Amino acid sequence: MITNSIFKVCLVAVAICSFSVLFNAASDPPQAIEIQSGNTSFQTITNVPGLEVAGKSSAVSGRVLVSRNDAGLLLQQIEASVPVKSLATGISLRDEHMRKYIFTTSDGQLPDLEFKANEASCVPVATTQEFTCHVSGELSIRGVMKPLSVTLRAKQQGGAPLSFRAAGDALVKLSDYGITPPSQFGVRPANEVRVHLEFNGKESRQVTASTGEAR
Amino acid sequence: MKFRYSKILCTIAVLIGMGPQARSLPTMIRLGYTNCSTCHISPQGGGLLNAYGRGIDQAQSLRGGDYKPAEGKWLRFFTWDHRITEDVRSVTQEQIASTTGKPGTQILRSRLMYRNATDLGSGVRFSMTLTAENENVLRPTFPYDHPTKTGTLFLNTSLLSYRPKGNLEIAAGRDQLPNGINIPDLGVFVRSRNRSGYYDSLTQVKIFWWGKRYLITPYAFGPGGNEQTGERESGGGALAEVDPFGHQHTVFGMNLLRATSRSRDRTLIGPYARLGFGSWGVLAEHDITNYAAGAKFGALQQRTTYGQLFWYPKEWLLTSIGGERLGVDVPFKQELNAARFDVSARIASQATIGFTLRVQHDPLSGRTVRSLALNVALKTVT
Repeated sequence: MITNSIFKVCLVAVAICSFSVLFNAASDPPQAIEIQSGNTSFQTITNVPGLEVAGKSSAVSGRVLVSRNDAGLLLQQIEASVPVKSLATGISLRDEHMRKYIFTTSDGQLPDLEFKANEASCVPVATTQEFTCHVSGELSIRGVMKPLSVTLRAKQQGGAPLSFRAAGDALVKLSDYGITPPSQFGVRPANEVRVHLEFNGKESRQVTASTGEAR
Repeated sequence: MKFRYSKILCTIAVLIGMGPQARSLPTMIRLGYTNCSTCHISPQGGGLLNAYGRGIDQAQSLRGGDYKPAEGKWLRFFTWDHRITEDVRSVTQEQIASTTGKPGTQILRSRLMYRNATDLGSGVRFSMTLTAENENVLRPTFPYDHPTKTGTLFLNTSLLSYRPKGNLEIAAGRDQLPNGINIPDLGVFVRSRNRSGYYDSLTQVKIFWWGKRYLITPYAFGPGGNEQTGERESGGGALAEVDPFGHQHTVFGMNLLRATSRSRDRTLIGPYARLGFGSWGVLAEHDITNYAAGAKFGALQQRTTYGQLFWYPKEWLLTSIGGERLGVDVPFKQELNAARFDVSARIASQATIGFTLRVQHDPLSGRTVRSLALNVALKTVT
């Protein structure tokens, strides 16, 4: 009887300890981080030796839920978007062609570029303030969603509210989206487009501390 | 002696130093165009544009829009089924200048050019440029550097080229030598004082080999035929440039040249840079020319420097400020400092207008030359 009681007490203690460990490890309330200022740039080679086409946008927006765990950071509900009209290459006619031949849907719509991922883990690098995040999600170009992996390097900026500076790179293949690279008088960009992303993320105040969900 | 050269130099350098933008645009580095071969038929730049270049030319004009090549039965006939690319270009310049203690001057220069590039097939091309002008303005005469002669008609380019690969071209004939930052104004010190002015077309063989991050141009040359007695140079050199960061916005290069003639030998070392970031950029070149001792004078060094900061408030509107320096050692001591402000508007692919304000000071004579020039460049586009 006594042995049985001791066993039950031990079982409860182990359960409490286990719950406590799990709670500390993964259930820090997530905080919503919003992209405050972001830039995205792209670059692709062409069939002409020495010529590349590059462009950029400063209109990146997005949000992510961030929580700390023993392994580093846990990112959830990752969302980012770039208005196609904000992408510029320096030549307005080339921008017009880019929008027309690459980003316009068959029914004439011009949807934003969107990236979404459910979850990603970030592991610390060098210090506890710097992380590398392998984010696997989906990128939508002219409404077509395709898998895309982005490697982000994030650095936590000190103090409150919580903020991060992050940068990452990805490779997008136009053919994955059914897009044929357009040609202009024999000059044609390659199928592979290198994308670079840089942004500052800052804790959003529009978050309930108890649930971590954005209103 | 000093006074005489200063007077000549002040007047003529201003006259030739206000050339219109009639050739290549190294400012295109701002958009990632690291060399000229993408838009120009010749990889050296300047001269006729290829179809893509004509598209860019129109896109970057106030008129804008898509370039649509002319078509038609007769055009096909006269262009040998589009093997011949040609245009007629006129450049007119009205210029007024005032010099300290001297009456002002006014000059109207008009230059008409016929440019032709004929594709002979299998990568072989013949190019020519023929210029007619109402006023010849030679560069200044100095004991160590006599200007080349010219007439009303001048054959700038007569070149046979062979392009075995997309990034390799071999050319032989008559043309200007490859040049550092390759600015269109051939009157600036780094060009006119280094035998790369309007009338310096030499017989030469050159190779252009380029890639994403480099351009290498070795060349060998002989006299052009219009040099003065004893000034007929032969020699060789190489121009090499690299984009060290691979971002297509920073190019650093070096031009090395050695020339020999009956009167004296010279070597030139010319580092240069083209930097461009979106709407603005910097062009810079510094050339050091060492003249070996000749029969009539000893060794001397000439230094020319050019710097330009440019900004495009609109795609079709170029504004820039810049400075130039010229320094020559004794016994032909010279020092000139100049500042300039340029505005150039590309109204359409056929028309560009611009003006240049330039102030040049000679600290040895105390003279200052102020000048203002209005340029109008027109060309046919088919």
